[in-house]
Amino acid sequence: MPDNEFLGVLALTWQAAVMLGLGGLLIYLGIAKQVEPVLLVPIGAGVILANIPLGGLTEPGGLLAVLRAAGIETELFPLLIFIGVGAMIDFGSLLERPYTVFLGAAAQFGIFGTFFLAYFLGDGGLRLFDFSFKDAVSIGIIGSADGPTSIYVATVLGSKYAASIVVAAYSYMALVPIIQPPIMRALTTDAERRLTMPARARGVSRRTRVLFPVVTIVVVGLIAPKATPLIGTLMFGNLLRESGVLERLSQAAQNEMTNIVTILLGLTVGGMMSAADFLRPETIMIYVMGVVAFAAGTAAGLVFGKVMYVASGKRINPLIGAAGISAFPMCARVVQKVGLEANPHNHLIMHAAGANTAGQIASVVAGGAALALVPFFA
Amino acid sequence: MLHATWFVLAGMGIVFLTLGLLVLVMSGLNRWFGPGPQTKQTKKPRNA
Repeated sequence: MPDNEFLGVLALTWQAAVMLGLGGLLIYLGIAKQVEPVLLVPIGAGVILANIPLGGLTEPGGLLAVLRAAGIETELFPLLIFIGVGAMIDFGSLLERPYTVFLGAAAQFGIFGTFFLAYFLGDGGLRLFDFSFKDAVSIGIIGSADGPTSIYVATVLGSKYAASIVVAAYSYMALVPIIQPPIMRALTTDAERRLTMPARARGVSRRTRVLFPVVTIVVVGLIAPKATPLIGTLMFGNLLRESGVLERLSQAAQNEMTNIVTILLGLTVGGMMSAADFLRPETIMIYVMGVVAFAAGTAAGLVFGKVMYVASGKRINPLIGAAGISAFPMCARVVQKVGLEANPHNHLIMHAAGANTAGQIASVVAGGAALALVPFFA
Repeated sequence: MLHATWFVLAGMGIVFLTLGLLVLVMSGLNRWFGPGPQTKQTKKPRNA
């Protein structure tokens, strides 16, 4: 057996060394800086495992290759995660304030606006980067601020940048408290930010809570059938939560299942980050696009919030529009914080939570819409 | 880029259409199955 097949260090390239450093950085950020540790630590470990020369984990039959084939290429992992997410979300704030759905819808411009820019920089215009139509759609999905949807759409479309897109989506979710406030202050006046809204609402009956997930599956499924796997698993998880008779299953979905799948998903995504795929200019541009996507989604939600502010006779605080992107519950907390800065008596959290959960549904619909439309336009 | 523009418009159109329907559904659910009227709290007798 030649030495370079026995000693990994002899087969170590500078690209693999950079990737090992990157894996270490992700683990450092997760543990020392507590940036999304639940994901960044498994992803960082996966990067290291995948880039150890001669380790064989990403070769056919290797652990990471098996996990990728079983959980990512079949879209199983993101859908299982969605069952857990659905079981964690309380849609009560949204059901009490149905109008906040439109803020979630508007914020999805982050997806489509970023797609447009990515495609313009790629095959559609300047050709500065190797971005095909499908790659551009997958990059735009970072704007959904929704990890499982990003994985699902990028995988179904077969984007070669799936791993970078997923890492960008999860990284920026942790940066929401840094990205959003300057945009919120720039696009709203002090008088708008000070506007108080009633914290209490009429309440929602149990029957409504139980019917909502079932009806949502039917409505979204009939309009955007490609979104059915995502909305179906999300709402199934929510049905477990709201049924009132499946507490054990709801807890299992929220905890055991989500935790196990998160470990496997993180490792697998990290394992997809090989030096050859990751160390290219396109990856850097995908990270830039991630900021654009989050910023555009936030701005679109705020602008629509301002429209509602005017249309409602100045009764809706436009800040809640920023919660339309689906990074839950970070966006709602950021809105509450910025609102309180402007007016110490301004408690927007319940309204923002409505927009935030609406954003969760809207991002799934947007992902489904994108998947349905790609064959007609690509 | 024209087809990309149409893609954006169609995508946002589907999102607003679907979620608009969802608003109708939620309003309907709240109207038909909303919480009943709050029962008026009876005053406790002062010396209770």
